[in-house]
Amino acid sequence: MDVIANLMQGFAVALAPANLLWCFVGVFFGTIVGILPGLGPSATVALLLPLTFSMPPTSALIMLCGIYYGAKYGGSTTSILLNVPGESASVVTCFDGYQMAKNGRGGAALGIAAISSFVAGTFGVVALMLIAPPIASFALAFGPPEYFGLMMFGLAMVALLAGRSMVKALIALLVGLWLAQSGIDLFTDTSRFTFGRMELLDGVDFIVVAVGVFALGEVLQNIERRDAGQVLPVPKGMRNLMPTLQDLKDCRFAFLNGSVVGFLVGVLPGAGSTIASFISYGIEKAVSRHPEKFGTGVPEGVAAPEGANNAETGGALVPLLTLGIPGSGTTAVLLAALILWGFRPGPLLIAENPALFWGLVASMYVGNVLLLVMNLPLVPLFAQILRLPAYVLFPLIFGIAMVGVYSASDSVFDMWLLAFFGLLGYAMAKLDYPPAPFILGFVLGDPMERALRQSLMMSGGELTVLVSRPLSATLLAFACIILLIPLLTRLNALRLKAIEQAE
Amino acid sequence: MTADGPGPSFMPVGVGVALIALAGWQVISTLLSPRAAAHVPPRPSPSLIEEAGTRRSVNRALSAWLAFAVAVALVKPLGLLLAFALLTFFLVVAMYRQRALKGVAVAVLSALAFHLVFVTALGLKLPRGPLGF
Repeated sequence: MDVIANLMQGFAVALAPANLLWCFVGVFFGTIVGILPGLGPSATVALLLPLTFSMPPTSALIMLCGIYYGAKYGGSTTSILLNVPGESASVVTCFDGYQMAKNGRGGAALGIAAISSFVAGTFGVVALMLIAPPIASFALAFGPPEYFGLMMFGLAMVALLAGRSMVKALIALLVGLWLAQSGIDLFTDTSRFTFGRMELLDGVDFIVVAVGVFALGEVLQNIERRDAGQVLPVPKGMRNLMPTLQDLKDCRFAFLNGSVVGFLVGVLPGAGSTIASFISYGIEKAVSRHPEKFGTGVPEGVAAPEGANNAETGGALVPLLTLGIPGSGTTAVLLAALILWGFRPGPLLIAENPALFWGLVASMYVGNVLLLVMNLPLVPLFAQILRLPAYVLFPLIFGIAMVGVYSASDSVFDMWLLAFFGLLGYAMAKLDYPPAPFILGFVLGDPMERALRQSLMMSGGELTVLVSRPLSATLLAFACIILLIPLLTRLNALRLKAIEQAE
Repeated sequence: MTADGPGPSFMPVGVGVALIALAGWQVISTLLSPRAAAHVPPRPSPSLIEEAGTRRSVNRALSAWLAFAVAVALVKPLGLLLAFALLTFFLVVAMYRQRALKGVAVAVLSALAFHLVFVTALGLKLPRGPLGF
């Protein structure tokens, strides 16, 4: 059994004292970030990325991923106790979680959320472990046209699901792609979009963009309200966190549903944990024998979405680690991290760096156990983090952003760029331009251009190479269909209007 | 088209054309939307209050951003830690209306924590000011 042997090796990596410590640090920070409304995992991973450069990459990846899935555990806490989702992935948890807390069953709700997160999170890791190596070896046969098609498909999905207006999502995406092209062109040594600045010859640093748009942009949005300085009341009497046997029985199907839906949605680019949690809640309600009770505090209504958003992590890592193509803001930051540490993300990543992949997988088993152990008894303690006033937290984030960007490049010019991208992130949020397509466009700009130009070099300039190979043709066709969906629904809306008027 | 394939301007031109097309679409569809065509604000009195509220909140965010930009400008002359402490003090006292003493305490403690974590523990070299930190 290859998988078992590899996994054992992975555990040897993950259980090394230093990596165990980093895993703990990651899930601990993740939980805190998940609890704090106003600070998301993508911002945190971006903020901490520059500080990982002196660490061994495997430890760093273990820690950053720990933040990623730890935040999803933490997000449920404030949803249940205060009706304030810590992350968008926990919005659905509010529906039944907060009602349970109001009915005096907050402890049980937190317990179910933690158990469901653990079950589904572990399922996600198992599926990742089993599915990633075969996908990677399948992808070995991909040439540049297939990669181009795959990236087009992924970006189209992201644009489709990023916001209400697909045009705005596409504009954000294209600006990201454009920004990626600044600096020296790798094929011809021509400098592009450098505006005569030496500092831009290497292009714009990913850290500057990600920290600016995610971290500064988020803080600026939060600073709009002064009342963020107020302390939210944390309910008392959370001693009994164990759900009853009946609760667990009611949640049997929700555990399975959350696990499978979360993982599958995670593999798809663009969909992400928020959508996974909504779908899983919807399915749970549809198959329930008492759908009318949903929204009044049923345990399955907590278990399904919490499971889904944790299983999603394993799914989202599949395209990242096998194809080098991220499907969300946080995985885009992780992709940039892999590149900055000197890895070549793609189908060879797992084969070339078994310790990295299997170490990460094993660390996620460990991390899920750590989170369960940490969350069950310590939730009331963690909730105290909400007492940290905004006027302490936000300046700290500004400061960490400055230190991080400076330490990555030793350049004050990059700090100016950071300020610029912070303002851009804020403006985009105010004007409804989603940040995820922008960041993904920026991260994929380089590989996408390379794939396109290599394809055209192969074919001697014939664009037909993109559609004459079955796989790339299929992927591009899917991308086109996805991009046409808003037009179709618009037609659909017109049709519906006509029917209404006819009646 | 050369032996190197399409030149360095191939992708930027493609992206640029698509960007202009989408931006044009966005402008036109905004102008043609019913609200713009009617030339009147949809709800008169309550929305004015709301608008004042949003304008004030946008101003808050922009002042915070300006403070950040000033802090970046101060990094070279004053050093990163001092610039950060001043920024913190400004945000605490001016933006969150806390007492000056509290502002000093938060600023000094945060800067101290930064020094301990980033300089002492992680060994980063941050820009120093005339005071040696």
